[in-house]
Amino acid sequence: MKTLKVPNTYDISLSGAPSLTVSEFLSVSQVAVLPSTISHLKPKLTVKIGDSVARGQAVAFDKLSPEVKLVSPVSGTVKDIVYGQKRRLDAILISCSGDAVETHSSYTKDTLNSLDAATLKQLLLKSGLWPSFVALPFMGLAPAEGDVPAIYVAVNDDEPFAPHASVVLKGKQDQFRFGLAALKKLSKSVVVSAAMGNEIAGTALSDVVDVLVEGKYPANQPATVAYNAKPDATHNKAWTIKCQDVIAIGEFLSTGVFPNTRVIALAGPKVKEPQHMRVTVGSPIKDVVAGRCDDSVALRYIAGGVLTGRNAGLDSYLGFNENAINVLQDEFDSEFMNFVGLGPKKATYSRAYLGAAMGAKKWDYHTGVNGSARDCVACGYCAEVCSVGILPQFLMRNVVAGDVDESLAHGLLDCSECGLCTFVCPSKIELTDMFVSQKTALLEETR
Amino acid sequence: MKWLQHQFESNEKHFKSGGKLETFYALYEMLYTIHFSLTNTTKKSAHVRDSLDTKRFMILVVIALTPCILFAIYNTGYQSQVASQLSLDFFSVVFRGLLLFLPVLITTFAVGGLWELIFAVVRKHEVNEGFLVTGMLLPLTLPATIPLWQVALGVSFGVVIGKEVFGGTGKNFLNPALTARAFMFFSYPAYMSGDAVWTFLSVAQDKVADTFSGATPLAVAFLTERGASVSEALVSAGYTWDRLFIGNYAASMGETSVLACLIGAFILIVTGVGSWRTMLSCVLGVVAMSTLLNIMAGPDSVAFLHLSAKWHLVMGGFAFGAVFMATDPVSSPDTNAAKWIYGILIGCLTVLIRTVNPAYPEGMMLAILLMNVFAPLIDHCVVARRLKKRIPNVL
Repeated sequence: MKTLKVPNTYDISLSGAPSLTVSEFLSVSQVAVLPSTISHLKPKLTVKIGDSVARGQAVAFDKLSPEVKLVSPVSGTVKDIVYGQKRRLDAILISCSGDAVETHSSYTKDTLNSLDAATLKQLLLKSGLWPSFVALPFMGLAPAEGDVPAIYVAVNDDEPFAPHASVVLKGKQDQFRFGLAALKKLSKSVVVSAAMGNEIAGTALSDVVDVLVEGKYPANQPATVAYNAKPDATHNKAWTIKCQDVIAIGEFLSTGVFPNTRVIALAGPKVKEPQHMRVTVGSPIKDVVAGRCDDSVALRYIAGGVLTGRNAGLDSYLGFNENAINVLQDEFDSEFMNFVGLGPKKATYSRAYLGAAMGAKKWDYHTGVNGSARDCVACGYCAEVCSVGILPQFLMRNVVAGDVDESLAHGLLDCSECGLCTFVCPSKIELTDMFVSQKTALLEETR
Repeated sequence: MKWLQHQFESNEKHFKSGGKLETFYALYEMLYTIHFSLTNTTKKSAHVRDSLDTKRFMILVVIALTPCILFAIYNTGYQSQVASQLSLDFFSVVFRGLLLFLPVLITTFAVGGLWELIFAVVRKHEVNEGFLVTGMLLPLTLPATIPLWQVALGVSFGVVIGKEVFGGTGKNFLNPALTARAFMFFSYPAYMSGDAVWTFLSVAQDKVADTFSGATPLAVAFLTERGASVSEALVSAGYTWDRLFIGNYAASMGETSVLACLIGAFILIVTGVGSWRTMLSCVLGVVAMSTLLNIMAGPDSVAFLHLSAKWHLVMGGFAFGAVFMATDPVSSPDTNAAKWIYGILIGCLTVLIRTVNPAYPEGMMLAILLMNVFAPLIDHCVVARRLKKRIPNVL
């Protein structure tokens, strides 16, 4: 077991961390499949309104690699199909009924061993679990064709707030191991990383964990681990996957049925009792948060973490890869001359307010930008929080200037999209968004 | 406060698109955001943002400048009263100081602010708070007798040519305040150098104190004859090391006190706004270069070459420049390694210009401006080395 010290990490100290208790919330009347939450997937429907679908049955596939299926997490009827701008397929709504299940062949340890890689791949492609692989460098849907140089598995997720590894792994260690065994068939190199201080990684799972990661957010994000642990350029096209998705693969292979529940974190400053919940995949956010938030003010419901998540809103659903709902205050009063004074109540990475000296204090962040957009003043904070060694202020200039070669030399494709540079920027430049847009533009050009 | 906010909000419609005063939205936006924080929320991830913004960033520099400003007001008044043989009680001194300093400050802000506003209106962007710092820095580097029309011209040059033609704060490569000062220095040398400009005399020449000479420490050092000791010449002219450190002598209004600059440096370093690397490396540069010159200088060399680093550090505008001018993040290099090179070269050049160059007794301003020009090049070399270490990730 190696240790990996990830440089330039930062914990924003958000309040409302989830407790380690898990409550069950499985009975929903309606779920949704959200193709638009899966990066770089171009969905094509295979069902229409009124069709009956079984749990695990495909409802859409990717136009560019038709083997990749999106499946219904429940048995029921397609109730509606929602399109967004430019007729982008946003959601396939399915009302739950019946208990029809699409079953695939199931495996034991021995039968999995004798299974060949190609068959396993075909199985995973149609399982509906394929989108849980995120392919570097574009951080989107993994290609169905070709070999994968490495798969990085992150046991921990340190974004505020994601499900805690000990909760996710509780009682699921065997499935995790089984999932890992399957991944090892797909790629020669499977790198399992866990946070330093993760108890399970040090004890029960010590035989499968390869890398112990030291550092705050985003040290344990698989893309960050991949950058800091990669031996050479071949791993630039590695895939990443999170712990819970490996468990799901393990469950799928051992039962032959699409595993349709996940542990999510319901957390953030505006949640009354931040906790973990076991919910059905694709659950309506409204139902999950009902009565659990302090909604005396306007709230923002984020599917995923507060740094990388999606501004879902109350009426949306949990996407396939979204393992958390974080709730923040979305409306607040103007303050009088708030930039003068000591600022003991201001959270900052810098030392410009006294709040920086508050040690272990947890902060009730709201969704305020906290300033006006300005040109870069070269303060250098962004480079201090870039765990993949990019100098964001230089990369930003190259991206703005449209210099692709220079952007690539500066490590554009290494960007793990963690959001910290955007978070710290005093000029409120949307750095991460710029980099992601540029990466997407490059991807569109190359395919 | 509710009343004020209400006034702002009820008048906002005139400045919004379609309103009568639409053109001056930048002015409204500036006045509003000085008083009230914005309540706009994030549209893209990250959903949460740091509390620090550029307003705070710039106001901290102004706060760090306060000791220098207060000392400038007191000392400018004091020097004038002493030379004019007038009352030295605290209120007369401060009153005289305000009378000399405030017009320069107000002219700077009025003219410079107007330019900022013009550019904001024409370019349809918000007024940038960077000028707050420029406007505070420039008066502190000027002599007490500076004509206000020159201040107006100087700040116009600094803001327009030094900054706005490149796109405004963040896109300039020279420090705007120093650009303004350099413009005034080279355009009107008679008003910016020599012995007569540093002290305002409010009485006729025959009533001036006998002890008054007007020569700055740098001028004394510059004129010391070969073979003589500069430090002795300074002491006999009344410029002891302690006095130079405290700064109670006549020179550019706000640059004299090393003590006030050190307090400012402390604030800048504690709040993380000013780079300690830049400040320290400037000092190292001065120490290294003056020590080298001390070793190389023979008995027949210019006397200034024999002056030790200890004196160089407290003379002229070095401390002020190292703390407030060289650390300007926009015109200094971005990478830490480059900051060391930049600072050391500023220190070396300052000493070289002071001692070897016969034309100008002060080197800090020119050293910083010259290194401002080189900052992108130093950055380029540092970044190129850094990029070589990356594992290439290309398409």
